[in-house]
Amino acid sequence: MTPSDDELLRLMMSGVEEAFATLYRRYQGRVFRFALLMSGCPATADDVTQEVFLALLRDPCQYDSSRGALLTYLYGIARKQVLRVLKRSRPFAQLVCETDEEGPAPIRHLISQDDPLNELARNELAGAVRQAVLALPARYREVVVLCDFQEMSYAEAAEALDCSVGTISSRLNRARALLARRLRAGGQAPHVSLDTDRRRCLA
Amino acid sequence: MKCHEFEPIIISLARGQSVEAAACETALSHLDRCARCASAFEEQRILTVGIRVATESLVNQGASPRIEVALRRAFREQVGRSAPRRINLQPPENWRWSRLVIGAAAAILSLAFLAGTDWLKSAPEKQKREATSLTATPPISGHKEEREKQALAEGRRDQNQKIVSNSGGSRRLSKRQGVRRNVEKANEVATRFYPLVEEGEIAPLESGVIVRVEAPASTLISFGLPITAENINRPVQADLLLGQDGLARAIRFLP
Repeated sequence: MTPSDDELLRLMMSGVEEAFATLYRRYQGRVFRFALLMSGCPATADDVTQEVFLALLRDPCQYDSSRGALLTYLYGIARKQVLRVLKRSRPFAQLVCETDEEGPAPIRHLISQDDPLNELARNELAGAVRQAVLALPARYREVVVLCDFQEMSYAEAAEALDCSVGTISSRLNRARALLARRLRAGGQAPHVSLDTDRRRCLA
Repeated sequence: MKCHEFEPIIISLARGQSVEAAACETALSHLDRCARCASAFEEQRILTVGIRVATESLVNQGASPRIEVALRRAFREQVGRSAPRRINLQPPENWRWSRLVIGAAAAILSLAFLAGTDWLKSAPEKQKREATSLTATPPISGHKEEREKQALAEGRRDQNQKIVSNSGGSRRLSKRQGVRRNVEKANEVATRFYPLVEEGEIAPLESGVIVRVEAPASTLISFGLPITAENINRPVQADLLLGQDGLARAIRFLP
């Protein structure tokens, strides 16, 4: 049986290293990806992930399970860390880190090899979306990252970002409009064949 | 449906979120009539696909392994231990003998306890039998000398009986104390020894010493032992088995 976050936290607080390691492995990926999408830099994402779990390690009592899930709490710390980094490096901000120039190689195995043209277009689209997300103002970016990339509900995102659900909804609308405009300006739209079912919402 | 009515649900539709069937049907019929809204909807759908593809491209990404190493080191420093604490729930081979010895000791204590309990049950019956034999009616004799001798003998027996009953009482008391001590001893070994290190991690145990320590009750959790919420902050007594090198090899908890 998989131990719950609360059980692991209790064990961690009583000095069991494996409990901490289990918590780390459970959530490091999502925290890392959040930081990566927010900063665009794997090295920064590494640092943020480390800081997030160090904060949990130093003061686990700060987390109150009655207020929300542990992941939401971790996102809250990660967000503060990312914003601090972005604020510090704003004059020298770059949209793409040198180490991130490998591009969309990891997605190759996820895409059908039957249609190389479509695969290329999708890779280009993924890259363009990530670039467009990085170009968004931070307050819009974090909402898109949490709600669209991390698939959190509006309520969870509101908890992580410490704002109301209405704010999340309006920021997401605004952010998506900006993203669509940017993608349209980049000329991404016409080349991609959509595989979404337009009438899925009827189900 | 008008354009301004369609706009609030355009993102929900594009993201594939559940929308009321009637509203969805109306929205889709509006799309067939309004080119501007159809274009905006198409853009949002493309964006949704783009986000999905971008998410898939990141799904296997995570922090580099050095982060976990650094965090584990920080954890150990925080806990104040230089060596990693790995709990092996399967005891190593050499601990099986120790478990046998502990099991044998527990069995002996249990037998002693049962013997004590039996003795306590049988003692009053024995005493009763003795009293019955002492108070039995003496044979009737017509001679005065014999009656006097009998009276003297009875007096001595009475004295003896008092002495016997007194000594029996004190003996019974001491036996009870002994039984209680045995029960306490039996209760003291509340848990088995839990190994704190894995076999082969350090030098084999040649000699050792057991040290009584106090630990926070929350430590019990890490060994899978039950603990109630109200006792979580109370200290529990524990016996640490230190090897010849001074390293803690195992721990057991007392009630």
